[in-house]
Order: sequence, then C-alpha cells, then structure tokens
Amino acid sequence: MSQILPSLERYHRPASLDEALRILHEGGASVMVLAGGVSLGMVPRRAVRGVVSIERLGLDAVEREGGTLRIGAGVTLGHLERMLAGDSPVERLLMVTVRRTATTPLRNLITAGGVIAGVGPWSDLPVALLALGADIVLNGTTVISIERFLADGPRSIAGAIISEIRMSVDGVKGGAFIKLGRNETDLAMASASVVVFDDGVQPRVRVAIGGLVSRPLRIEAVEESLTRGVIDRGALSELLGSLVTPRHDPRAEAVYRLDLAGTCVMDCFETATREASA
Amino acid sequence: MRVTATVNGSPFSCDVAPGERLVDVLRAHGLTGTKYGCGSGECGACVVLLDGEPVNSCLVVLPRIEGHSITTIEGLGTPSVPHPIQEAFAEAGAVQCGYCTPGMVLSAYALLQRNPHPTREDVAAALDGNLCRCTGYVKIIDAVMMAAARLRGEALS
Repeated sequence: MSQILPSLERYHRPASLDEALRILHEGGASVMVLAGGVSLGMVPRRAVRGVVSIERLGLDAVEREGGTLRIGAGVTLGHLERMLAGDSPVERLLMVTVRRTATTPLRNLITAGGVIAGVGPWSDLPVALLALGADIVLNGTTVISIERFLADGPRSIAGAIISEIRMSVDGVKGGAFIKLGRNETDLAMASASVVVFDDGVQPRVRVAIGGLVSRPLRIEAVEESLTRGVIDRGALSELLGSLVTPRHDPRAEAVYRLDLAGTCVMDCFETATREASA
Repeated sequence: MRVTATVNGSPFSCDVAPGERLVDVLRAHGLTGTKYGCGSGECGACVVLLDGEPVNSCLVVLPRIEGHSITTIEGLGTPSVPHPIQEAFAEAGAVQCGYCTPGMVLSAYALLQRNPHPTREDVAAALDGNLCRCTGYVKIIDAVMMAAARLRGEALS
C-alpha cells in the first residue's frame, strides 16, 4: 500500500494544547501540526517523522460573543458553512467565500486554521479574513492580526498552533468576495474581497486581493481611491500593476491576472457598497 | 499503530503504519467499491462518508478515523437490495464505466440526508467534488432527483 507520508513514524493525538505544544517543541522540525491533512501530500516526503493532530484539542467551535465571531482553528470549512447563520454581513461574506473554496468533500477535511497555516496564492478564506481585519490566536493566548501574519509568512509561527480566528462583526456594513478561475472549483487565478465599515463617523473600506502573488495582500492605496470614488476599472488594474508584480503560470499570464483582479475588486466594491446601503 | 473505528456499522480495527491512506486500507480489507483515482482529492472516486459527511479517502491518513464512523458504498446497499439512489442511477442511465459511481452515490446520499428536497442546482453543488469522464452530468442529476422523489415517497410521472 502506498502511504501519504512514508517517513511518518508517530501520530500524536494530544488532548490539550499544552501537551500538543510540548510534543511540537520536543520534536523540532521533524514534527508538524496536522489539521485536515489535505496538504500532507505536498510535504517533503522524508522530512516529517511525527504529526500532532489537533482533533482532540477542542478547537472545533463557532461562537458569537458580543460583537465578536470566533472560529476554532479545527473547524472544517464544511462545518463552518453549515454553522454560519448568514444574518450579518460578516457571516454572509464568510459563507460566500467558503462555498467558493475547493469542493464539497475537500471542504469536509480542510480546516479554518489549516487554510491560514498553509496559505498560498490560491487561498480564498484568508483573502476575506484580511479584508475583514481578522485576528488569529496562537497557542490559545497570543493574538496577532492576520495582516501581520500574512506579511511575516507562515514560517513566523513555526512551533506554534493556530487555535482560533476571531473578528469583530460590529461596524461591518457590507462585504463581498469574488474569485475567478477556469471553472467553479478551480484555484483562484485572481480573487478579491472588499468590506465596508461604518462606525458612524466615516465609512471606509478594506480591500484584499488573492491569486496574484504568493499570499493575499491588503491594498491600502486602492482603499483610499475607492472610498473617494475617483477610480474606474481600467485605472484600478493599472494601479494594481504599479503595486504588485503578479505571478505567471500556464493558466493565466501576469497581465491577465491584473485585469481579472481589477474586475474582482470593482465588482466586490459595488456588491459590498450595495449591501451597506440596503 | 492500532486504529479502531466503525466501518459500515460494524467495529473495525487494524494495525497500520500511521501514514497509510484510508482508501488503501479499505480496499485491502475487501471494500473495493471505494475507487482510487487521482490520489490528490481532485476526482472524488474515493469518496466515503466520515461521520456522515463525504470526504476524499485518498487524503485521510488512517489514524484520523480513530473513534469515527466510516460508510463506504458497501454500507449503503447490496446487489440484491440496492439503496434507492443506486436503483435510480441504474434506471436513469447515470452509469457508464462506473468508476465514479460509488463516490457519486455517497455524495448524493449525504445531500439527501441533509436536504430531502434538493433542486438540480443543489445536486450539482453537492456533486462538485465528483468527476465523471464518461458522461455529461445530466443523467446523474436526473438520478439523484429521481431518488430524492422516491425517498420522499412521491410517485414519479
């Protein structure tokens, strides 16, 4: 029989975060965290001797507390899709994003924490979380913004376990996520998410794009232009081109990705502002 | 390592290397209705139900099923007493080579457990992880709609 990881010798199922962190610490680079396991096939085959499953750590709840939505890192996207109520702009945005991620059987394996820890150019949920200004909680205690995590890269949290994703639902008036690929379940060639905030003083938007470079990016220069209403689709693609150098692959060349990203951002902005003013 | 679970309603345990795939272990234990296709979660030929939800068993390492319940196509019906979804697939002409069929049927089963009144769009969305390279998907969706109606006890026109 073939194995996903032939080098794997130990499968740990700790019952507490402390125990999981201890095993990770003692195992060093040869032990990795296992969430949904979907990306196990991409792990260098001789590198991993042990995995620490997060399954028994109690990271599988979706909770609404006051103005905060908290998603356990071990919640599968399939479960998240079923748990989201869709009665707030934040939950509607997350629902749309999750439904555009992978396929039904994959969503029943992929976890919310896993898509962050394994973030890549194709990632969908981190684009929406970046637009929402979400935070991630490490080891149950340390809170960092997803913006900082994405800027520093996944290696910045080596040895840690993402335990939760949390975001404020207060002040969010509208949101949208759009992803373009070759078909409905394709990886993103380009994607965008726009969130409209209004705290009663001054409406503002946050814009994130995906698919263009190695990780989702927040594009503050675009946020300003969109809020002031001084940019059209063509100018937006041009502005994006001055800010990022998109990757190029056989599915889509760089200039095409820029064009798609511009379209995604403008369409998201229209949808999010429509929701905010409804 | 020893892994204990429930497969098709019966206790199941075996000694495996921790990196072994669920699809391989099921097939090695005679449950060959679960097919190995792409090995990367793309095609859905290996779909089984993990606690009632469809998953790609080519991406599941066996220790992951410890204490959980797995349903394969053999757990749904038998050649002499097929499940209504299996009957509908045969009647609607939704099967050609048949390699994708077990995964399709299990995905359809999970959908109908949750939603007995699906639209054709709901069915298409639920089968988005199951590829068929023989047919279009029209007959497959016809079959699931037919099965849904039968399971609701409706007479078909």
